[in-house]
Amino acid sequence: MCKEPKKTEPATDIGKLITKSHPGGQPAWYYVGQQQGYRNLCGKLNNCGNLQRYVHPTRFPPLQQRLLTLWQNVTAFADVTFTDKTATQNFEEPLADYSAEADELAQDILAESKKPPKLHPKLTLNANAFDVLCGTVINAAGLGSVQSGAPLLFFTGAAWQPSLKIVHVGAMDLQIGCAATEDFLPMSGFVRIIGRLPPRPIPKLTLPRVTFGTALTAPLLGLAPQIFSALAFEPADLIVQPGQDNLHVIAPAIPGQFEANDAYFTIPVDPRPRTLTISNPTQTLTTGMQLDSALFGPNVDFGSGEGVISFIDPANGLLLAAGDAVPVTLGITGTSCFAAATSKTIQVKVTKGRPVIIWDLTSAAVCGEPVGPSLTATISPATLQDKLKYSLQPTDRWPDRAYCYIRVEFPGDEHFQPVFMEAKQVLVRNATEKQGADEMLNGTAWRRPDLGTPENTALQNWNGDAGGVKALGQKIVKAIANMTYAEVCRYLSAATPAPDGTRKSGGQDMWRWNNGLQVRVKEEGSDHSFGTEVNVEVVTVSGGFTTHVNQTAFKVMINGDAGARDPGKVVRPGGLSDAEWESYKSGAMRVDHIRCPKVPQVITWKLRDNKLTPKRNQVQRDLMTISCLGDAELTFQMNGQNKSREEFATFNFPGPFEYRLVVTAKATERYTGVAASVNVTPE
Amino acid sequence: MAEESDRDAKAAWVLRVLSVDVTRAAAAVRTEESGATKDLPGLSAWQAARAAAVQSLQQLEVAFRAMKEPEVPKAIILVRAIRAQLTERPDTMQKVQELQRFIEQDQTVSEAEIPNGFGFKVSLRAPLLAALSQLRPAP
Repeated sequence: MCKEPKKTEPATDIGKLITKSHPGGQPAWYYVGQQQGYRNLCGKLNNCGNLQRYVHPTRFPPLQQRLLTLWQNVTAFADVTFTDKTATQNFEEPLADYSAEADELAQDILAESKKPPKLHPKLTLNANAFDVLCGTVINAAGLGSVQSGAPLLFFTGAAWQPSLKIVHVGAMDLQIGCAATEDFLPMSGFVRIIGRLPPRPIPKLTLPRVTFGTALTAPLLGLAPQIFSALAFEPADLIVQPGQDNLHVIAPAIPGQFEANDAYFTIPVDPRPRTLTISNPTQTLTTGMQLDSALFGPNVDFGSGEGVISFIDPANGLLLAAGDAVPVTLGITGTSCFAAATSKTIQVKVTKGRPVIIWDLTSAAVCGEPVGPSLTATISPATLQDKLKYSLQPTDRWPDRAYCYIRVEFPGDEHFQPVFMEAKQVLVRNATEKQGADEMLNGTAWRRPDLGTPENTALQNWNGDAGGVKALGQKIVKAIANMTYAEVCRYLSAATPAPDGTRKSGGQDMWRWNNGLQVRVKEEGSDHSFGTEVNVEVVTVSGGFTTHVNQTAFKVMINGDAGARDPGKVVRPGGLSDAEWESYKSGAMRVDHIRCPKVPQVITWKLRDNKLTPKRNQVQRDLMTISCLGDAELTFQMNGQNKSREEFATFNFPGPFEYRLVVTAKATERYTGVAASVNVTPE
Repeated sequence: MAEESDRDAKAAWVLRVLSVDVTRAAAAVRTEESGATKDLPGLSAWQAARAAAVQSLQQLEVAFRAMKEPEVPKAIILVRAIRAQLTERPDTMQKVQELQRFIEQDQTVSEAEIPNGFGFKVSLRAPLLAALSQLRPAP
């Protein structure tokens, strides 16, 4: 509520005397107050003050300000105007304007008193914080809005402004606000402004057409050297991708001045032209060989960059003809980065190809049975398959001997050399022998030598060791039953020697058992020392007569050093320690202690799909498995290059040409070393 | 004569309503233009306003003397004190600031301007501050 400003009493003697100078001794404002017009006006203003109590406080301040201003104007007018000490002047007319203003104010107060309270407007910001470049003039309305609809203003510390220029780098809280409206109160709040340095300007580049591999230079980009050196580029020096490539231009930040900036520009890049230069291949070319750039080794010059040689003649790179000066036309295909090269024709010398026969004798060989299933050799290239010739025909039957050789050959033609392969198939058993062997192993037919059985007398006298004889017999029978030639040879050669250190062929008296199965050396009556080769046969004896039923013969190497051929002389077998040698001479050594001769190692290539034509990029171990008899150490070669087991197993066959795979097994205590190879031609 | 009378009436109205003595201000301008005081910008205007104020204060002092009241001696001393505070030549910034503070804040100046019953108006603060604002002394 606003009332008439209070008039204070004079404080100094000057004021007191001036007060007394008026008639009646009253101050000037007293006389003004006596004027009717002034009193009427004051009454209106007091009425306005009384009416304000009906106005809600939220609508009160502007009315109060108006009333206060009016009061001040009225009293100032009176103070200025009053000079007549008689105080008779009528202020009715000069105060007419103030009176009308008081009436209007009273009307406004009445109207305002009927309105509801003003509300606090809600401030809606477009974000919690705003990134603004330094130097930018921001408008508060762009940061958000107020419910009242009043324009947002910035408070700059001295005044409210509709816009503000951001000059500060970093975060700052700016006060924003708006004025009151008809229905809302004024509002004030803060908004976080984060001043950012402007991005460093990057010149607009107009890039010319370039070829792949063109170096970026200042003249190429049309930049001054100092600007070029101040910028960074990706790719840094070469245009990497032909076509409409993007050149990434990076402008590093300048502290306190610019932030880092980057831009992309389109640069048309053409494939790089090149010349294909190919000279004679570095290795012999043969018919059927799949040509590959690797065959030309360092004599292939693609010009630069990657590429794949395309063989125009022969179209698929497969050499079919043999002879001198065969024309081969080559080209190099275009890539995304390099253009296709001009084709070249060179004269190469093509020799006859060497086919590869693959033959895995895995089927059992039984005496008298047809050999047909075993004749399944394959030859690479497969076009020569029909030209294979076997020494046995599928309708032939396995011969009645311990082993036989089967030969398969390709006789050769105008493009391929003749090749052959021999395989040895061992024949050691039939049904009758195996039955006897099983009985012997189970002990049902075995009789101890110390029981005095006539059949065992000679054997018992031979070494006087019934347990050793039994063990020996079991091993021999087991070997026969398993029909493994190498095993039979080993156990026969490990027979307990005579007390004088020699091995005498005892004919039918050598090894004989009461089931009629007998192992004997065929050369009856001859002496054999270590290192000699004898023929041993297993026969069935029945009724005191030797009946050669299902006879099986072996060549047996009597264990011992090669030079130990002096009859009656005890020769130290190889590999025996001193203690073993003494035991050997005394006859106390058991057969298990005798070293066996080494037998050839066998490496088996087992094809998964029964063919040697893998698909391209097929790895070796998916094509075939390689095994050997023992745990020999294997080494691997691929086209003459040594490979580790893992490299060999994971090697894929990328190109359509022949690969030569060689596996070598080192000699072990039991096996001699051997190397086996196979040629593989991917499809 | 009629024209001169009309000019005097307007000057009187300006002096009464706006508290500006046009006659004295014109005289001060003429004095300044004549080169009487050339040493300090605005000094002549200040001295003119000061002369008018001193004259008003002397007029008020004479009116006080005519009154038979016990406060007269003290009031005359205060009036003279006001007159003494109005430095004739405020040639430094400090003097100007002291003058400004006195004219704006001193209660004796306020009460001397209260409309009186002597028949004349004492106007001190407005004309003196206006003239003082034109002074540009050296710091």
